[in-house]
Amino acid sequence: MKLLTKTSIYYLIFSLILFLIGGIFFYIQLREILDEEFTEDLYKKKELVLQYINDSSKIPQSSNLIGDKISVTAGTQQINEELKDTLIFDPVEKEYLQYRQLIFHVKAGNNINIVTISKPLFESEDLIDGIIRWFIIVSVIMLILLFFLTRLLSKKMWTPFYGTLNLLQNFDINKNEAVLFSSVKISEFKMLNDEIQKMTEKIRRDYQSLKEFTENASHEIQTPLAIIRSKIELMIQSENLLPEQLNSLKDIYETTHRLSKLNQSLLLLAKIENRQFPETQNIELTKLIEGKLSQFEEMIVYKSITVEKKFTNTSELKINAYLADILFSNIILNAIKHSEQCGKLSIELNRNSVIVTNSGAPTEIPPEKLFQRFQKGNLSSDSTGLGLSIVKQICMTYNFRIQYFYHEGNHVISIFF
Amino acid sequence: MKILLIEDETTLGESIVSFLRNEGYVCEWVKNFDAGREKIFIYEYDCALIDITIPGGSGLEIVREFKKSNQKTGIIIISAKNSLDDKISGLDLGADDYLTKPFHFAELNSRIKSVLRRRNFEGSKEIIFKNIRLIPDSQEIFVDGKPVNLTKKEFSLLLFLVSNKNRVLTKESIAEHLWGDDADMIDSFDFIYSHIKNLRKKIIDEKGNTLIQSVYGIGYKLLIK
Repeated sequence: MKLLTKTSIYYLIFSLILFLIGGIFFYIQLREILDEEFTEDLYKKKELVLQYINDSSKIPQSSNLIGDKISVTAGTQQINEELKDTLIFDPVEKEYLQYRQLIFHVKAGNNINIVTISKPLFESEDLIDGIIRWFIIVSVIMLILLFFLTRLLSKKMWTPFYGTLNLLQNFDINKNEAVLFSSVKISEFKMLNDEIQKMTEKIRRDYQSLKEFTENASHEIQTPLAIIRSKIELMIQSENLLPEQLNSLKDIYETTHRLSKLNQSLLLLAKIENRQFPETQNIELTKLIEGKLSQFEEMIVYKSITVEKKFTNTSELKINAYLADILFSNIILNAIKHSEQCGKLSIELNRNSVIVTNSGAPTEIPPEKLFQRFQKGNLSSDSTGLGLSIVKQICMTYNFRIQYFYHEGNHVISIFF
Repeated sequence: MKILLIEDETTLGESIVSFLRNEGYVCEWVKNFDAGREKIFIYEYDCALIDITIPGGSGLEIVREFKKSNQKTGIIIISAKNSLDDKISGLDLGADDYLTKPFHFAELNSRIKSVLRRRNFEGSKEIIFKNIRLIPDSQEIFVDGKPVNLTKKEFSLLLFLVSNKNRVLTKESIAEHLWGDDADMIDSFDFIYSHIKNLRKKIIDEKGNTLIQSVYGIGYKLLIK
């Protein structure tokens, strides 16, 4: 949900609740005031009636005109003054209407007259109805106006925030470009931008130094290895080495070679993890696979492997060229390596998957651990145990799904794009 | 043939120089950027081996200078920076080849020879030894004057052996030369033996003896005494 929508909804809910509470309170207050006013009015009328009797010594006539009704009847005894609400039938409206009555007696000589003053309450109801109706209309108009006003204001206020967000979305650590914020007047946003600027700067610097470290580490480790190797290469040229010496040199040479490969593979993994291969291009997979098969043709021939190709798709894959090369080298070489003599290798390329199958004995590694680092089927083998980890890492970079299973004497590795 | 080496690592530099001198090259070696620039302004070289990370500047800058002052020199970049960017920019600047440390000396030798062959238009484009005549450009080979059919891989294997004649080539360096770095995924290099076996049958001297000798589990060498 968008910030603006969320605040608008909250604003609307709270204003509605506020207006509702206010309205109810207003209504109750209005009623009470009117109620008191009516009662007061009745007593004022009583005073008037009493004054009239006092002044004119006459009993007033009953009057049933519009508004208050006064009825005077002869009574037999004194009564207690009484104030009550009652319903009286109105012949015009043809319904019972609410009245408030004040009943009291008046002595005129020996006669006792009962005076009833009735005040219609429906007038006040109409008044309240009217007031409430207008109150609601005004409230709704105010609510709508305020809603749009706050929306407009929020939009204006949050503009720098959205600008910042946009810049952050376009931030690419690989591009090595500083994030440049335009100047902002609101101090909170200014602070936010300053902090983000500092943070991205730091991230960029750290990333840069990490990258440099990776490459420098490679440089620093590769050079001594190169020296060891070159010295051995010079030594083995000597004609007068004893077989034992030659054997030791061979072991040293092979170990150094492995160490060097291991270092290269680990660095490659680190580089893929650090997303240091950002450039992508459309790679024709059929071409790439054919190329790899011809590159490794000798190994395939040596192991007498039958290759079966099923290309039902010739589309391209958007991927880094170097990584694509490594990816397919590794899965195809892995299949060749773990294929039995005179085995079968099948490569199936579909619309969104590539499936490499090779016949061979089941692996000793549990399938779920196959893509982990340093997992080797054969402990004495010379392989680094990183080949499939590199495959996995490349797949993760591009959100490809990779899976392995063993079925009826076949190793099956599938990658879904 | 005169070769300039720009490399700051003393031990490696010494090894390369001694290797190149053994191969019969005249080799000059400088260790930093300024000395390297000075050399290319004063002398001419047939080939230059330039490390990218050298004190005082970038090897890529030297490649640029080289291209300005002397078009004829073949340039091979050697670098431990296994970075694609450097490789691309190096080749863009006009370097002939790019070699990543650590490399096999045999590989370096083969690359130098290949660069020199390509650069040296006046010289012979044929390689003749014993009863064998090799034409690298057209990938042709004649044994006793008769053409012999070799596969592409067999030909590059032979060329690699010839470039490094009388030297032991390790199985690893042969595998990398022929199949690239990926070859290391394969556990054993047994298949190289089958390759050598095929080549052996085809490359024989006048007396019918093989010219390719295997060296105690380490590798092979082409013997031309």
